[in-house]
Amino acid sequence: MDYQKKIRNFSIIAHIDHGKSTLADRMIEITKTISERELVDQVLDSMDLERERGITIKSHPIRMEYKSKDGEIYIFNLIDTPGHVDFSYEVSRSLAACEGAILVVDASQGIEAQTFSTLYQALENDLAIIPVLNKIDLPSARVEELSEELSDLLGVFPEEVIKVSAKMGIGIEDLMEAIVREIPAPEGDENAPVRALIFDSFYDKYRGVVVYVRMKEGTLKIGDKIKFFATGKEFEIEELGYIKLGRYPQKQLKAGEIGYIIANIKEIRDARVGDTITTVENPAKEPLPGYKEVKPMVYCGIFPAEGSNYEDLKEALERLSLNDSSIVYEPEVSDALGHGFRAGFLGLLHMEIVQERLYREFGVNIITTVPSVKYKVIMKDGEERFISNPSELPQPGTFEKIEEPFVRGIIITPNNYMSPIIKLAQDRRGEYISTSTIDVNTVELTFEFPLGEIILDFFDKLKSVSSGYASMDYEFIGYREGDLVKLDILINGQKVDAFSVIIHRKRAYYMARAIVDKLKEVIPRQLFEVVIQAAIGNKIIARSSIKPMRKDVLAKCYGGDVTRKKKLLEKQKEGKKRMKMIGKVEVPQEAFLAVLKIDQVGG
Amino acid sequence: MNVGLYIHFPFCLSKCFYCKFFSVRFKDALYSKYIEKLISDIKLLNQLPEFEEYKIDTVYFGGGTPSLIDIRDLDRILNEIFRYKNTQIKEITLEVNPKTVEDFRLYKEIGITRISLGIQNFNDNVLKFLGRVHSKEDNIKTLELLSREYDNFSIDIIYNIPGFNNKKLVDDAIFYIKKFKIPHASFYELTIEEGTKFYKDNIKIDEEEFDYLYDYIDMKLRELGFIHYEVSNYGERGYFSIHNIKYWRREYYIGLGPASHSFFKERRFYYSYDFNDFFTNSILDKFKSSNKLNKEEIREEEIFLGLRFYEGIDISLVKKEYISFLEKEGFIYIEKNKIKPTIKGWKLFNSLVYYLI
Repeated sequence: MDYQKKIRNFSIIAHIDHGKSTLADRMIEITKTISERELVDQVLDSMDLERERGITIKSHPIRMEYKSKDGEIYIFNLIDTPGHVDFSYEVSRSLAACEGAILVVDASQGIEAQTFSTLYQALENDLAIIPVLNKIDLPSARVEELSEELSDLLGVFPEEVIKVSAKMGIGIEDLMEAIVREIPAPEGDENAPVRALIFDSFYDKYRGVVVYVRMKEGTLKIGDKIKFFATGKEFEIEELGYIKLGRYPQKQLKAGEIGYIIANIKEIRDARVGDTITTVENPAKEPLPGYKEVKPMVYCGIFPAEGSNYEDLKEALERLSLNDSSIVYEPEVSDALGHGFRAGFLGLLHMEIVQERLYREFGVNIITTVPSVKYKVIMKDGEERFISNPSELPQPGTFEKIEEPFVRGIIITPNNYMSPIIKLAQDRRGEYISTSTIDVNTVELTFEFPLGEIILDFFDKLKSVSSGYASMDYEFIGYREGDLVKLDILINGQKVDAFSVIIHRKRAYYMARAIVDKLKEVIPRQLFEVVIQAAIGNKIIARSSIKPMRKDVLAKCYGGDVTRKKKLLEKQKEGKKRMKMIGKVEVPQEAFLAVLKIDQVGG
Repeated sequence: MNVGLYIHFPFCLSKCFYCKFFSVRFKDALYSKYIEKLISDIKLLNQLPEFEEYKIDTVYFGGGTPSLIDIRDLDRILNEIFRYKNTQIKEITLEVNPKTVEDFRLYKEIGITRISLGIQNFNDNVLKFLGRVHSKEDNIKTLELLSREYDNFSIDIIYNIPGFNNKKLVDDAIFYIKKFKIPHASFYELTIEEGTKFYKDNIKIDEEEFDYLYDYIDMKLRELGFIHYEVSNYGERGYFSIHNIKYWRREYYIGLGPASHSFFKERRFYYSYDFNDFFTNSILDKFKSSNKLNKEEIREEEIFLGLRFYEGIDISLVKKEYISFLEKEGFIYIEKNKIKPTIKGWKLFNSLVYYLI
């Protein structure tokens, strides 16, 4: 299997702004993979949103041919990885498709805590790591010091740390040679039954689902009947090949290679990240390890807002879910907000991304309700119900207990931020498990959290108490009983389902106060007094009121000039469009958003 | 059929600090040109087939300071109006600024039936604060002269002046209303309009004070036998402004002069806030370039104008959803098939209207 000796499969691990994309661009340039004319800055990040947020959401593999100093031509497959905790499973699958990873560190900043979690995943996957210091041309670069640090961390000699400036094009060849030298060639029998790892897939409106695979064993050819282990579905390969900037069709893909497959797959759910492809004719006995079904962790109601309607929203969600298999949704009716959907997301960032995509790509304006997790309610008769919409929680007394999802959260942080982080975690009912030291400056803290406590603003808080240094990764560990109550909000006596939250009893009083005060702030004064109450069951636990308007009249209608009154009326009508009528009270759409942004940590 | 005539006189001696109406400092050359154009428009009205079946029954000289019009010019203007074959005059009102007029007999002789006097206040510090050019003494003197000649007249009062004892100011105004047997008064709260000196000075209005004063004025004037017949207008029976009532009842009126508004044959048209539009376009040009209101616009107007008037509007005009709620909360009351505003409803008029439209 000589061809495998010339293949290098790797990804780049880097903190935001440490130069991952620029470095990738240089590699593409030096290997003449695409002409300079095609090389727009940072070709790998293609979605607008990704560029704006500086994070990679979807992976894009790219195949390059590099002529080494030894005279041989090597195939480099660079696999990009998403950079956010919501997508950590996708990261792990991308890494599983590689034999090596380039760890890029900004020579002025040093290695950031967030980078560790991806680095650990790479080490767990037994990848060869090539440490790279980038931006060495900057006056603030601390090349020697950081080389020492990296050598300690990875057990290499300081000289083995590659020094580059992706921007200036310095040291790129050294890096290319290191890839050839340090990253192992893939192994795997091209004649064995096929096992191909899906590390990404997307929906192409002309071709259906395009699947990105790493061939672990065997060979796939056009016309092969293939089978997906997780779903059991079968398809016939129409086209396969390599990915450069575009698709390059080939006759076959062999063990060790990376490429794409098109097989008339209609739904992205049929080609799940982490699943294994084999052939119908000569199936492998077992799938590759590591497949997990990705389950939504965060749910919220999505309702059409000003200028949008239910049908538009429905169509947009249908189209969006064609290329995002992780979003789930079903119809929901709210008293306050009308017809809409309850949707599940991987995390809060994923939720925000979906919201923004709905608006940008489909022009649909939405209101979302307070995010919630999925609770398990055990009824008196032993029946188990899963509830992701707080307004569906059965009346107190009708059920035995409620259980909430728990996660194990692993926080990596510089050690001087330990105490504010522990305080934050405890405020969120986090149970401290352990601390372990990563290096002189960095520790790893393990907690167990109720998921509901961290979905809303925990990550922002974590960043703010650690000056942006700490990062957290979490995984679901099961359901546990909790003293949970449903907090309802009533406006002039009418319950507003969209504001209901399920919350721990201890935190309910604080939240109740925060919500009624916030609503008092954002609901404008009306003709009459507006009373806002927060209640658990029938018990009112917080109250605020909005005094009625005292004056709202134009004194004069001088000389029969009615234009001002008409303008006023038009302005009022315009304003009403952004309002939701709850009973007789006009509640601005912003109110729903404002409740989401309430500071979760009480004083 | 009747039609009102509104004449806007856009000249003043000086600009008051709260005023947003179109007016400029008095200038002779502009003045003459203005008078000639005005007369030519009235002549035009006299000749047009569009107006044939209508009779002018009210005239209102507003401003600006129309008491600055030379009495001979005023006479010419009125004669031109009277020449209108079908004229059946019920009311001719002239707005007068204290200090600008000494002899009201002349007005009576040329046919002015009603005077609206811009008193604004009976406190020298308030008058100064508002940028008025007259004093409390001028006000009292003018009222003495006026009340000798006219029994149909009105005063304008501005209330809710920041930094003053407003209840006392209102009491003063009521005192003089009694003393001079003034049969009609308009009480306007001070409003800070964009583009005025007060707006630039960032003067703020106390809404709670307004709430209180509005009730207080209503109470005091009712005690005197006045009827609160519009948001800001009070009159003894028989002394309401016939011309102004047209606005609330959507009866037709023609406006002449810069920044004047017309409503005729279900069309609204107006001259812009400058001299040029008025000088270059006849009232007929304005009428012809306007559009008829559509059904919904008419309904909305009927509501937001009609509810300013104490007689209210037909219940069939409004959205039914909130009627009983608004009645229960005391914003409106229902009599026969009419929805009528309450004092509370008038104070929150804009929001009230929106619930009904």
